[in-house]
Formats: sequence, structure tokens, C-alpha cells
Amino acid sequence: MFKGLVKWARIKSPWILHMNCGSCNGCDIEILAALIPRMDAERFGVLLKGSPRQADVMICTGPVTKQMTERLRRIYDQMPDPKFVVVVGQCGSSGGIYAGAYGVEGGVDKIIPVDAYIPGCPPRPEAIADGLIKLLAKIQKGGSE
Amino acid sequence: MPRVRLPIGPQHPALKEPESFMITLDGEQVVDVDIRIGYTHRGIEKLMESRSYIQNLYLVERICGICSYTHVVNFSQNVEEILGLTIPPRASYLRTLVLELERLHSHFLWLGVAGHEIGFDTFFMYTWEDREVVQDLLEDISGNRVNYAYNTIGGVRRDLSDEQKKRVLDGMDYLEKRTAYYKEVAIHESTILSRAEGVGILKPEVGKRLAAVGPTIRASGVAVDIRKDDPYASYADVSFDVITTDSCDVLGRIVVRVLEVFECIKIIRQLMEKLPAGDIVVKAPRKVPEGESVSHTEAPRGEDIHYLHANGTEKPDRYKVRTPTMANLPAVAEMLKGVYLADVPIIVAAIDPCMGCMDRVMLVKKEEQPGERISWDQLRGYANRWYAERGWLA
Amino acid sequence: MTSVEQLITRLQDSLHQTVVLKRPRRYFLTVPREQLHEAAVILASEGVQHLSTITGRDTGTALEVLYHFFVNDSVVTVKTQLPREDPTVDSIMDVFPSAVLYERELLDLLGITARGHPDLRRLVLPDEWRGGYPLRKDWKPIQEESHA
Repeated sequence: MFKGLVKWARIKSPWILHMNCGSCNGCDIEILAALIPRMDAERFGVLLKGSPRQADVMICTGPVTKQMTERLRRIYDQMPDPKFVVVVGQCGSSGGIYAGAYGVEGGVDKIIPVDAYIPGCPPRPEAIADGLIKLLAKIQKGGSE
Repeated sequence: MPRVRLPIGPQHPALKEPESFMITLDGEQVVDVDIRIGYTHRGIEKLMESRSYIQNLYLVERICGICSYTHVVNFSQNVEEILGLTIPPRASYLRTLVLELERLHSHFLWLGVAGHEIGFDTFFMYTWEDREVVQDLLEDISGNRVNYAYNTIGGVRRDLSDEQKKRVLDGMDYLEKRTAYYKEVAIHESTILSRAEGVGILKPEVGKRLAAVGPTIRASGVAVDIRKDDPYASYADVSFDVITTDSCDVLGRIVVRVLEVFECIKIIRQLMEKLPAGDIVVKAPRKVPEGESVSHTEAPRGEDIHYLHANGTEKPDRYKVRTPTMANLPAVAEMLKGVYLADVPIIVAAIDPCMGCMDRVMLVKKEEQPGERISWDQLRGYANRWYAERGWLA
Repeated sequence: MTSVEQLITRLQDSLHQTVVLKRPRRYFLTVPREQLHEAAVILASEGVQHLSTITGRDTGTALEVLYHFFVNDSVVTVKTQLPREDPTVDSIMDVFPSAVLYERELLDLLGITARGHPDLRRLVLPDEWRGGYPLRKDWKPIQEESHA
């Protein structure tokens, strides 16, 4: 029962790790804007945390530049199970506007498994908050494996 | 032998592009700094060679999501120059409006980020809330909060209605009041003063020799501002001051940006008052004749310079972009020498790095092997604790 | 510092090259490779400090390097061409220390070596990059194995 409680507590207030994989920052700024008073994802229990070892959810932005590939994989590996990956923005989904550029892999799911995509270039803060909440609901229902 | 950097986790909430600092320490003081970039290197310049000029408008915008429009304006200006096009005056005013709105959003963004760097999170929340006023205006005018798709070659894509004009002016009234408050905070709040005054000194001679740009060098008394020195868009039609301070420190860089906000408001009000009637675009051919041009703007962070070589086709032969943060990197490395490790976060943040964060820092202790890796978050935590121990609480 | 006009006159007289004014406040000067460093020295001696950036370009037949300086109200661009078989040029870091990163980028993306640069490392490509010089016109992307 205790394990269930811990899992519930963590998932109710997921600790989010934010990983910029070479994005232009547009999405990253909107993710932050989702946290400020007007959007306030914190109201829904979402907290940005530092270390991968404590994170439940990784939010990724960017097309994954060549220099970020190994780092992305390593950080993902450091996260404990259960873990979930959300991609914010077109670039993380498909490479976006940079698709075909020599410096990019062309999407986060080319490197690690992804659980949810929030499309947009960039998506609005409301869309980001909405996507995160839907992911929370999905996790509560029983994980995404 | 290449050092293996185990990323401990990206931190900075205003996660700007990741960057890496390799710092050599002697005790608690920085002896040397090596800045590694490339984590956001996507290959845009090459990609631009296989896109048409119109397609490139959308690519160029996404070089950076914070000062994206300045890149679009430089690009448009380069193409229009080789085409021999003069855009209609109304289009030029509207471009200037969006450029200044971008400066506003960028400076507010930065104020919040700077506040966060020194543990002043309330400041971050306030400034970002106010910034939303600018985002609403940008969305009102262009249809998007970020990446406005506002230009075309030959002008702009959307006109401004009288109602929108009024909303812009109302927004300026509101922001002017709020910024007056921030000015007081910046000058008097001991939290900020203790962390910013006398910190991160950049002497003007050093700054000029290293070709530093923007508020970073204006805080060292150097009055360079491309809007004044080499006017573009409609800057020659409006009056405003180039803001400098003489303190050469982080506090100066904060004050310069706050005061620049007032100048943005001043400029925007004049633009609205004098907005000429007329078309917002002239037709532009798809092919650009053989030629070359250089365009630069005063982005919120400093000089943004672009070069175009055209070859008579629909696609650029070569396009070069040098962003302002790149220009400030040598100066940052210099500023960090001899400082306490605890001052590193705010000094770096003070150049308003658009490429940057600094999601991992590597410390190399002098006389010791090998480096210890710490994350930016840990470094910020260390810095705030270091200052708290000395009686300066955030 | 001298006015831009005086600077241009000095450049033309000393180097025996013509400066072209493409439009107001945009000067272009083409010099042979051997004169590039001298041009930089002249600019520095006239008080020019702001090197905005350095552009490298593959013309198809040669490699061209453009040095963009911001002088008072004008951009003065000094160009030179390098043969493909010997893509080297003198570093101008001794007179323009701000060239430090731009000259590294020339090597990284175009394979141009600035002779005399104290620390010519890659700037933006990964250390392990073996994919050639992307900004060259004859560059072909190598099909890399998928990282997945």
C-alpha cells in the first residue's frame, strides 16, 4: 500500500526535468510561461526539478542536435522507472523547420521513446499545460508501457 | 583527450540553448574559463541554401525564439537591398513597432531570468506576468506569441487597425507604470545590489577590443546602438536616447535594460502617432539577382549581423548569421577571470545569453585532477548559499 | 578615430585597391590574400576595433573570406580569396582579438585555416564529427548509422 501511495504522490505532483535538445527557445519560453501566475501549471502540481534521478517526466524541446544526442540518452537512462517523456513542439516531433539540416537527428523519438507530443511552433502555454495534465491523467490510469 | 561530460541535468528554467562552461578554479576564484558552444548547432546556414527566400523567412525566424524578429528583419533587408526594393513607409513603421515590442518582451524576460539567477523568484514572477502584456500585443498584431511570421519580402503581411493601435498604446501606459516600479527595485533593492554592484567588471577598453555588443557594453559607458549609428527600418524617424551607464558591472547591465524599456515605450508611442497611411507591401520577384549585402540590427542583446550572397536564383547562395551572444562570448570569458565562483551565474546571465544556458558547468580545480561536473542549478544553489552565509539573503 | 572617408582613402592608397561603395554606409574592398593582414593592420592603426564577424564562402572555384568591420556608421567589408588547394589565410587575431571564435568557425565549417591563431579548435560541430566541411559546395552528407 505504501508503494502505491508513493507512486500516487509522485504522479500527482510529477517532478519534471526539462531538456533542451537544441531548440530555438521558443518552446522553452512557453513552457516557462505555463508556470507563471497566469497559466500556473504549479496549480496542477507540476514542478520543475533538477536532477534526472528524481524526475518522473522529461519534457524535451528541440530537434536533437548531434551534440545533444548522447546527453539526451544518458539523462533518460538516469531517470528511474516509471518515467515518461513529453515532446513539446514541432522540432522534437519531426525535426520541424530544421528537418534535413545536417546538425540534427530530426526528432526526440529517434533517440528515446516518447509518450506524448504537444505540437506547435511553439505551442501556447495553455496547450502545454493541457498536454501535461492529459499525460498525468494517462499515468494515473495505469502508465504508458 | 576529450573530457567526457556526464550531464547531470539541465536546469535553468528559462532554458535557453545549452552551453558548457569549463572553469578552472583556484580555491573559490575563477582562474580561467573555456566556453564550449555548439549544442544548438543545427546547420541552419546550410539549410537556407536549399530553401527559397520566402521559405527562409520562416527558418530565419527560428534561429532564436526570443529575438526572432530581428533575424527576420535583417534577412528581409538583405534581400530587399539586392532587389533594389524600398518597402512602403507604413511597412517600415510596422516592422519597427514589432522590433520594439520584441525588445520589450526580451528585456522583461531577461529581468525575470536575472532575478531567478540570484534567487529572487518573486521578481521573476512579476516581470513575466507583465511580459504577458507584450505577448498579448504581439499575438494581437501578428497572430502568434512567438515566431510572428510578420514579414514578407517587400513589406509586412498584416496591417494594424485603429483598435490595435489603441491597444498598443494602452499596453505602453501599463508597462510604463510597472517599469517605474522595477527601476526602483533595481536601484534600491539590496538583494540585487549585493549581487550585482561591482560584479562582473568589463572595462570599456576591454569591451571594445573584444567587440562586445548591446547592453553589455553600454553598461561600460560605450554609446553604441545601431538604431542610432546606422539606422534601419524607421529608427531615423523617431527620437530616443542611447542608454549607457558607467558602472561597468552587472548592476549597470540591469539598469541599462530597465531604462531601455522606457525608450522602447517612447519609440512605440511615436511610431503610433506618426504611422503613415498606405500600402504595407511592394511586390517582390522570386529570384534575386547576383549580388551581396550586409544588414545589421540592434537586437535586444546587441548587434545581430547577417550577410547574403545571391546568385540570380530563388535560393540564397550563401547566408551568414552572427548573433549578438556569440559576439559577447570573448568578453564574458574575460569578465569571469578572477571572480568568485558564486558570481559566475549572474555574470553570465548579465550578457543575456541567447544561446545559453549553461546547463552544465565543469569545474577544474587548479593543481588537481580531474574536473568535477556540476550542473547550473547546483552552481546557482552554491552561489545563493555563499551569499546567504555572508548575510545577503535573497 | 578617423572618419570613414579618411579610412577608405588610406586603405586605397596603401593597398592600391579600389573600395566599392555598394550603397551608403556599405564599403567593400577586395584584396589578394597576401594583403589581408596588412589591411587589418591599417584598420587597427586607424582606431577601428569592432570586427562584427567573419564570413566564409565557397564560390565554387575558390574559397572567399569576408571580414565585416563596423566603423562609425558604416560596415566596411574586406574580402579575399583563397585557392581550394591551399585554404589558408593569416589570422588577424594579433590586431583583432575578437576574431578568436570566427576564425575557428572558418575551420570548422569550411576547412579554412587561419595561420597563427593560438587555439584552432572546432567551434560548433561535435568533436567526433568526421563529416567534412558542411558549408563547402561539394560537401555531401555522410549517411550515418541511426543512433536509435
